[in-house]
Amino acid sequence: MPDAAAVRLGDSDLWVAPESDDVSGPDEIIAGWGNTMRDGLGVRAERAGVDVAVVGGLVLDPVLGVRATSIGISDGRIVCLGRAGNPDTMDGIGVVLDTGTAVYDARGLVVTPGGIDCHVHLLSPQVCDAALAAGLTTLVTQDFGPVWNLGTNPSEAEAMMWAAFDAIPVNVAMLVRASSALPGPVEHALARGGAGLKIHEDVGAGPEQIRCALDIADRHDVQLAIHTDGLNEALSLEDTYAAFAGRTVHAYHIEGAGGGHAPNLLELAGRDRVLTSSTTPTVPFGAGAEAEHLAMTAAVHVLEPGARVGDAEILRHRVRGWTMAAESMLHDLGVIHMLSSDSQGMGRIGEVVRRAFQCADAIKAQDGAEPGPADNERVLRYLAKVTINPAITHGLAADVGSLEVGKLADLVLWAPELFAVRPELILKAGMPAWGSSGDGDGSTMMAEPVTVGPQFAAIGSAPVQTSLAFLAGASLEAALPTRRRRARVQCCRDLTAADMVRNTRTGTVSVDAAAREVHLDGERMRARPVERLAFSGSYLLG
Amino acid sequence: MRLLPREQNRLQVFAAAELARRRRARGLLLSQAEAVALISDEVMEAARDGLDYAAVEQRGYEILHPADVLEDVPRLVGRIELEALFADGHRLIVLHDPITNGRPLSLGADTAEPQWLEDGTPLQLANTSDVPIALTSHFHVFEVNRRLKLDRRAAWGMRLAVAPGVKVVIEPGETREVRVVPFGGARIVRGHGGLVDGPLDAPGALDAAMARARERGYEGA
Repeated sequence: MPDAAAVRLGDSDLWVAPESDDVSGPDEIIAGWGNTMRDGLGVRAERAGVDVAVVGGLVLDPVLGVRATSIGISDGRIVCLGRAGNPDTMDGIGVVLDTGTAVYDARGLVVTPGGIDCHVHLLSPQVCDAALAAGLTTLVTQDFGPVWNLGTNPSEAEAMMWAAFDAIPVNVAMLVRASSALPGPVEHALARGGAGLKIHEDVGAGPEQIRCALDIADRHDVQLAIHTDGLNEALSLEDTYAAFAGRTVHAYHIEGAGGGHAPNLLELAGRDRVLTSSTTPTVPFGAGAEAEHLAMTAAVHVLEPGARVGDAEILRHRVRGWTMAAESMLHDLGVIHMLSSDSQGMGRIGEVVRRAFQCADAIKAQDGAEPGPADNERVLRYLAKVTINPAITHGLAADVGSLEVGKLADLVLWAPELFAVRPELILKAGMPAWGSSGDGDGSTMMAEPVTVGPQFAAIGSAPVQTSLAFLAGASLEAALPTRRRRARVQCCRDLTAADMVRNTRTGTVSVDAAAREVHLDGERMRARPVERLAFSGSYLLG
Repeated sequence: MRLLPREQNRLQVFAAAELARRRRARGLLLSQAEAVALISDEVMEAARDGLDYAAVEQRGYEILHPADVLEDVPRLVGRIELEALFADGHRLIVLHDPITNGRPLSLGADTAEPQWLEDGTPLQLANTSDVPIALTSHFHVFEVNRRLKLDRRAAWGMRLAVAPGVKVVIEPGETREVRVVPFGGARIVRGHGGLVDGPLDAPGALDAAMARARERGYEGA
């Protein structure tokens, strides 16, 4: 049974319980008429407080844990966490409110860091709206519209995208196409607005491309995201691994339906220097996943199964329900580190956060609860997969990924009963960027129809103020048509599984195609198809 | 039609509600969004039918019951705010747990005694004015409205011993016993009634404030 202070997340069986409480008590800050948020009462009558405070929420953070606390923000950064109030009249105040402080009332709400999607194909700008509405505030991107690129080269496109991003309130790190046996084109693109590298088999994932890209990654301290050779045309899995030569990579859609060595890509999971992510449609494992992926892969990757020789065959090798069933288990055990979308390129960006917690709930239903308090450990493990771990992997963690002091105040406020489905408010650098609001002609803010859409930090030139341009050191000073603040991508190269917060398990994953079985250190990995998907049908119109 | 944004929003509610109605007609239990849309739409139409405010509000609690919706939905549909067009114009309706509650919340009794914090010391307050005076948790009781008669010296550095958000209302002519506790923190009071503006524990602060209170006609100073 969950303890008395535990909060239920949505319609799931996931519960979180605060490990500390800096909110309740006789000095609680309450906004409104006749309440405590008044000059000289709960609010200090002189300055020295924070600019913005998020007061009274239940913070879920992959690093800080589960805490009932308040967050202080100045100049767009988190500067303190603790009890909010007026130290002139109250004891133990960690977040000083003054008469100038803007307060978001988060009482009764859950507060998480803004989500990070580390596998975004920007095939249309609508992807960004869907991302914000799902609580994502940082995107690691490729592409610049409906164009076959799988990176963001050429440099004209990089410049165009930086110009466009100035209207969109998300932090952006653009990957450039590194499927190149020669360094020149890749170096050129990286120095003109890039933040990392991408190899994709559709444009070449052979040994020369891998070696060349990793040399560049090492030279510039950026990450290489790789979609490996699913055809096994130039390389088998162990050849690809050998080409890494012990250097850290980020292996995309590690189950393999998204692409990569068939049928055994999953064997890269659990290896020390291979940081791994899944994409949304296969997590948690569901009854329709295999059928959907046959249709999806053919649609996205320009196959004509039945009409062109070999297409059906490679499709059948690539789409395997039995490796999908193993993937969810490997997530729960912390062997797979991240979850991402593969937006419009075989995944759904609005589902990144939701799918993480759906998987947590599905595995809890299958395998039972872990030791308490509540389900904190499991919830934080999955939260890390969509916040801090992609930040660390792509060198963004000095600025985003958690609510630690010093980071950009990108955070999401959720009503617990609508958690992971319908956000109340998305803050970018402490300013309201997206959120739930009702009819503009209403006498209150929430008169139906309440919809999730832009707030003021999304309008005019406000995104410039509230969003970062993540850039490789090589392009930090480049002439780019963006006015946003620049942040350097760093600390990408010396990463191992041990750096993946709450997801550090390594081991030997073996894929037995004949038996259609996956084992981790000898133990069979097989999730049952999810029976009752939380955060979904209880809410969504369709 | 030259539809205004509000009217386009009305159609969005209608479209979602119509989807919900059709699904319901097929025997399906409704989701959170379907339930909110259907309740909102029906309440808006009740106003269109000419019902008065109370009848329209009551209608909101009669549209869906727990058996009509998916298992978790009554809990997921907490508060619905909507505006309906009545004969006297748009009016806000706020429904609280409309699937589980059968009727609107009542305002409750006026005279409930607050839960006093432990360690509070008693203090008598008499309202000598002709308007109600409401006290809240973190106001310096020493500096409350000058027409409230109390032992001002005993109220020095004290606040009401109630949870934040609680109000204690003293009606004209009424005398009430309340409980007070000392301020914490650095014990610096600024603002409030304007009698202190500084540290409570500074030498002479109380006497100076008492003199100011007497000068300004504070009862009990």
